[in-house]
Amino acid sequence: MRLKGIAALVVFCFPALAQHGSTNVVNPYTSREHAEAGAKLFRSQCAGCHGPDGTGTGAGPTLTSGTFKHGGSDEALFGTISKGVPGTSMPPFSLSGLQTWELITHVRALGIAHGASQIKGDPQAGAAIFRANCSRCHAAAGEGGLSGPDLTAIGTKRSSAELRESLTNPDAVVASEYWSVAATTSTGRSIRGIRLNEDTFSYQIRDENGHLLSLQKRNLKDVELIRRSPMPSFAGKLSDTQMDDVIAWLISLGRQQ
Amino acid sequence: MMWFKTALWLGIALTLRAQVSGERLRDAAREPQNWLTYNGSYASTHHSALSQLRPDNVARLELKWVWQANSLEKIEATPLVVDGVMYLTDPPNDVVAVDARTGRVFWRYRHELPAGVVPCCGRVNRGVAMLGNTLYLGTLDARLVALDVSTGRKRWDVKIAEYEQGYSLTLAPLAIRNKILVGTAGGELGIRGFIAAYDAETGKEAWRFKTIPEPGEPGHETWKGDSWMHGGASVWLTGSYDPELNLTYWGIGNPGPDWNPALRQGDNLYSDSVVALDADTGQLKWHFQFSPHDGFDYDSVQIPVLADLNWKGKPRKAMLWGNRNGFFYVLDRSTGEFLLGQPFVKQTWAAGLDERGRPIRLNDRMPTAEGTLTYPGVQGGTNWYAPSYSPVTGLFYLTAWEDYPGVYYSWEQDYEAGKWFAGGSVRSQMPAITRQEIRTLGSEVGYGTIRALDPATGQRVWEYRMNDVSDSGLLTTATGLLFSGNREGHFFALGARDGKLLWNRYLGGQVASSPVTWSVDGQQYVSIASGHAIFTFGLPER
Repeated sequence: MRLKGIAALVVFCFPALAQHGSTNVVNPYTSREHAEAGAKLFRSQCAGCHGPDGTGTGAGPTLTSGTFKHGGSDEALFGTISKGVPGTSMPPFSLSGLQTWELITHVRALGIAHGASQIKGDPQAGAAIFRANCSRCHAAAGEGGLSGPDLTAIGTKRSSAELRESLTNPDAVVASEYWSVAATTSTGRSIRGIRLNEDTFSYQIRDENGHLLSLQKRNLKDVELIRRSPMPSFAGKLSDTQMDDVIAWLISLGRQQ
Repeated sequence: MMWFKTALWLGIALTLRAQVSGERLRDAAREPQNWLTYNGSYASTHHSALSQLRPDNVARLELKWVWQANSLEKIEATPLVVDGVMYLTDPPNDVVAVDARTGRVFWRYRHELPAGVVPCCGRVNRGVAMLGNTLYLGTLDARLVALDVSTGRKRWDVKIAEYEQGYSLTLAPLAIRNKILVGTAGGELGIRGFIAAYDAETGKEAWRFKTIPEPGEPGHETWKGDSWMHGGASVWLTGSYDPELNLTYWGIGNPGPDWNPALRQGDNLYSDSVVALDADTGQLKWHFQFSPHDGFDYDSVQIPVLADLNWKGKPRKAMLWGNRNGFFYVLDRSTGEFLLGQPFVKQTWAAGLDERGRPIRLNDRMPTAEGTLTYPGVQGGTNWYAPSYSPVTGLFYLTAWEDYPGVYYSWEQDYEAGKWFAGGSVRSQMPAITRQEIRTLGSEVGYGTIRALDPATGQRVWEYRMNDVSDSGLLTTATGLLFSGNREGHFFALGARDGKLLWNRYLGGQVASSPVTWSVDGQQYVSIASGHAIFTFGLPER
């Protein structure tokens, strides 16, 4: 009897495993009703850290990019929720199997609502357009220039709408990790580069030649933090379809991360 | 035979030396070579009389040893140092005894946690207490564990509360005479908080003070309907004690659900308060509520700092309190009388304090479904990490988060045992608990600062500004030093009179506990946890 009980539990938690004899567990509870139940659960159990709409707070990351740091498969998400992430503030949640699947259904819906899954373009064509127009400054998937940010993982952080805005109006939102520093040292040397990190005493920058430099603030005569983007707008330079292709490629890259 | 007798005698002498009596705890300030309690002394001033380290030699500090944790959880514990042995916790609930001179490990106690333990904000622990030859540990599965100080073996282990319902212990216990005092965390999980005292020998409960009054008790009327049943008011930081008054002081956490105060109309006593309890009976002597009917998670879980001040020409037993709500308070710790209150960071939730210290709340600044921008953000103007009071400079020091906002959201919340029960959320660009290794945020989302305040006026005397915020506590010394660390991973010494940087070492990991200082064989040391290790510094040996 006891064994039977355990078997029933396994089937309930991992029905796809039982049905297909595969380890590729798939969420079986994806109806609208399940999504609604998951939404309610999300607000009460998850939104405190991940934000009301799942776009993150200072306490927890966004869940709307369509990619997940600790694995994006249904099975991996199930594990993250039920076991937590040691070393972070993500605790294990002792929800029922059904509740966990409903939560996953809602989390997927959050990504769709933010456009994470709505990729219209052709990633292959996008790769070629990227190489021709962007890679002089931007690296992606291990190739390209260094004067702009590496875009390999941008698809995990930005929605397709945000990527489109960056293409047409680069100054609209320049995230702080892409700000640059223009400094003059006390000996009169001018240095400019992307600010990679900063603390009370120093900046860590990468100059346009790819050199990694640490600037001690006490040794700088003057310093300017540049919050604008040096990137030109691609409105009118790329067609709507070409932009969709590039965005599709960047998002597909993000999903490989 | 002679060597055996000598060894035996030495063994006995060492054992006897390890005895930490109630008298030693009471008089901890007389033995600054040791750090006998979580806060260093019952007055919790985080001030040391040791004088080997001075402003003119602190720049010569060198690394003596490093202890590496097994755990990758954040270290929030402050170690004890007793007669040359350091007792620390490896998160979440292992206890380790190490040689304070070398960092070498004598023993380790392992505490296995059951599945289903759900602490709100990381699997953390803040340290142990010692009384006699026993160490006391509070665990995430809501147990109080007594360990033999010589072996690390368990003497007893009692259940404090049901962890399945969200109760956990993260604080370091407080030993007073023959009792061990603890409180329970779980304020985001719909618990009902309490402070309780246990017999140090047996673990039998001696008294319990419920931080939410039950029906028929004074203060119960401050909770509408059944809201008191899951109202939080947790206790997750060690209190202080005044032996002359026999009063023990504890800061109480936020009411729950955190961000939907409409579900719990009323002042919600004793959430966001300090309570003064008779140490023998747990009877409430007085209370002072900093943030009645809180909607922002402004736990009053800070360390009550006890200072004897000359207040307007007369000696006064005072309590100094930098609150998470952004105000600095001076209270009379004999009576709870409000003496002074001033904001120490930008705050936008109150128009000020009235003559009794009650905030003049701006009612349009409560959390909403659309979000309400309010200062300070959810981590507050300050938080649980130790402030310091120096009787030498007469200044109160605290770590503050300045210009730090949060957008507070509110929604309906059903209670389910052991589940998250917050009634809303808070959005902020500032990482709440764990730092970003790569930090490119600007000061527009807030910044960290160490501030020195004059208790007589609440006015700032100096500040030391940092790029990132800090979760590090403070330590001052009689020679005019202030030690602290920060999220960036720096550990540093400032001049306590002027806030000037005197020494700095980059340790690389987030500092989220408080420095301690002690001495062995005439050598003064200072220790700090950074990342997953404890670093100990001292002057070069002559």
